[in-house]
Amino acid sequence: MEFRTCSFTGLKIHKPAEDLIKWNVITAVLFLTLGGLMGLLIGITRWPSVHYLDPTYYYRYLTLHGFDALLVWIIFFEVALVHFTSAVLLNTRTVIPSAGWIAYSLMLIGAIFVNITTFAGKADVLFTSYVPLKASGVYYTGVIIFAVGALTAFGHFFANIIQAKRDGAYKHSLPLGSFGMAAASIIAVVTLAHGAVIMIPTLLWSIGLIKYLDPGTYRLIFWGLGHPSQQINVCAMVAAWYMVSAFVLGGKPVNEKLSRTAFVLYIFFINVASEHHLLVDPIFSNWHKIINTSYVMHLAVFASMVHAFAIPASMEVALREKGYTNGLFEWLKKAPWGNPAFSGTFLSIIGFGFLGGTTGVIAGTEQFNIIRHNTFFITGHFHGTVVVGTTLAFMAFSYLLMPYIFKRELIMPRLASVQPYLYFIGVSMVSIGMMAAGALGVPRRHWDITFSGAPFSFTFDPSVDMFLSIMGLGTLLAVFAGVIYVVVIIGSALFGRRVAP
Amino acid sequence: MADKYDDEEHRNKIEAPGTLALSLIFLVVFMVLWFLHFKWLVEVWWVE
Repeated sequence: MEFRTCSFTGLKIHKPAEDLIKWNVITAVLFLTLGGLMGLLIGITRWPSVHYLDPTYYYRYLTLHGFDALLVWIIFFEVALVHFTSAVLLNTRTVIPSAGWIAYSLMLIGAIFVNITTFAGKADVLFTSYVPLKASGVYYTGVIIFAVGALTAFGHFFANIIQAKRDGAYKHSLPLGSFGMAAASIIAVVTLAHGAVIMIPTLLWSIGLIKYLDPGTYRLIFWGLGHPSQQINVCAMVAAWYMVSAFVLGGKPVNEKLSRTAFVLYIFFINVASEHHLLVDPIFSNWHKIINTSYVMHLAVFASMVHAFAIPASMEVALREKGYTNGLFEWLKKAPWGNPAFSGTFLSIIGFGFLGGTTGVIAGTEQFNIIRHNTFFITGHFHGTVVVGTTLAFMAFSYLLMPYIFKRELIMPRLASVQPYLYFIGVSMVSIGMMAAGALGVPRRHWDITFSGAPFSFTFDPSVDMFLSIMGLGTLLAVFAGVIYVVVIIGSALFGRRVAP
Repeated sequence: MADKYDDEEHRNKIEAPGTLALSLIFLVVFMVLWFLHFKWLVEVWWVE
């Protein structure tokens, strides 16, 4: 069998798994580039003193930014993590590599369908594609093909771990990184099934085979896809945090059972968070909304708080074991801040917790949701979770994958070591600017917040311009750091010095 | 699976005092910022 031993980790790496990881990572980064470019264009359009795009292109690029940056980049990277945690981390082989390539091809074809249709102006429906906004049938077909590909990839995870158990690769339970990705894969199956349930009738409606699709029903089932796909991200991101702590510092969870329990809480309760999209809809009763947002949601929040303390604690214990025991914070001072895998992970934990997490709890509570719903605050919240949190965590993990999987050293290591800091500051400015403007009533998605030509006029607090400018400047800084990331990763994959086998 | 730290030596020991201190510092800073932001919002939105 085609195995090699990684000179850094000692892990046995199966060649087909290695190839699948490489292709999924590179494809993810290419779609991040496209999604980031769209983010630049729409970010400077929401900056009042620039207001760059006209409305047609603004909504078109907003659709693409959502699809490429929120779905394609992240899910391709998660599929790389699927192969890493179900084969490499278990020191075993990947079963039926052809299934991995079928999944990869379907996801790529689906993503290309959606991109081409949207660029052609046939799908200006935004990420949510709320009915009765109608896109070309090719758009929905692309989404379905992408979802089927992703479902196949997550199914591959289960096939791999079942085979690994038979091969004796693990005895009792999976290692924590694989366990986290198992939780992500379970949530992924539920999520993608919702996608199939709603996107297939929407496709039939789009091509005229179904006459009417109820918007309320669409929203209800769509959010079984739209928000839970972010919960796959949360599980995968937390799994990546644990793995970086283990690989960079030798960190082990202080209480592994507690960390596993927190992942199980995610499986049972985190999808409940999807309901906050429907709090202003009449679909659910008040009783349901209050139980959901005031009680059940906090079981998932509790799980996040367990991870948020367990991972820095594992880092502290590992650094203390290396001898950094003076005072409360010597371990923190001596941590490898110049290693982008570590710094990116640590900043991701802080940003996810304090920008994305806290604001998510606020916005997900019914009483607050009613005043924050559909404002720019929500956009600021999920740039805290998905960008400062997940994207930065995946960037950090990819710095590890370069030597481990691509067998290449990073090019421009100094630039790479400052990249996580620049990205963190840039996206935090974007997130805080959006949330502050949203708290003052600025709507999300909207091209023209002056509502010119409307029968009613509304004047925002003057500080809104300042907050939107902070967001605009943050966009420029984040895109600059994003360019550094893409250049370093693609450059290293192609031209980095080969590491010793 | 047995935990690495699940034994008599570690059972009642705070393994990561720095993380605990850091968490408390973040908690206090966050609460102060939250109430300041709330005060600011009330001032902006207040209608006589």
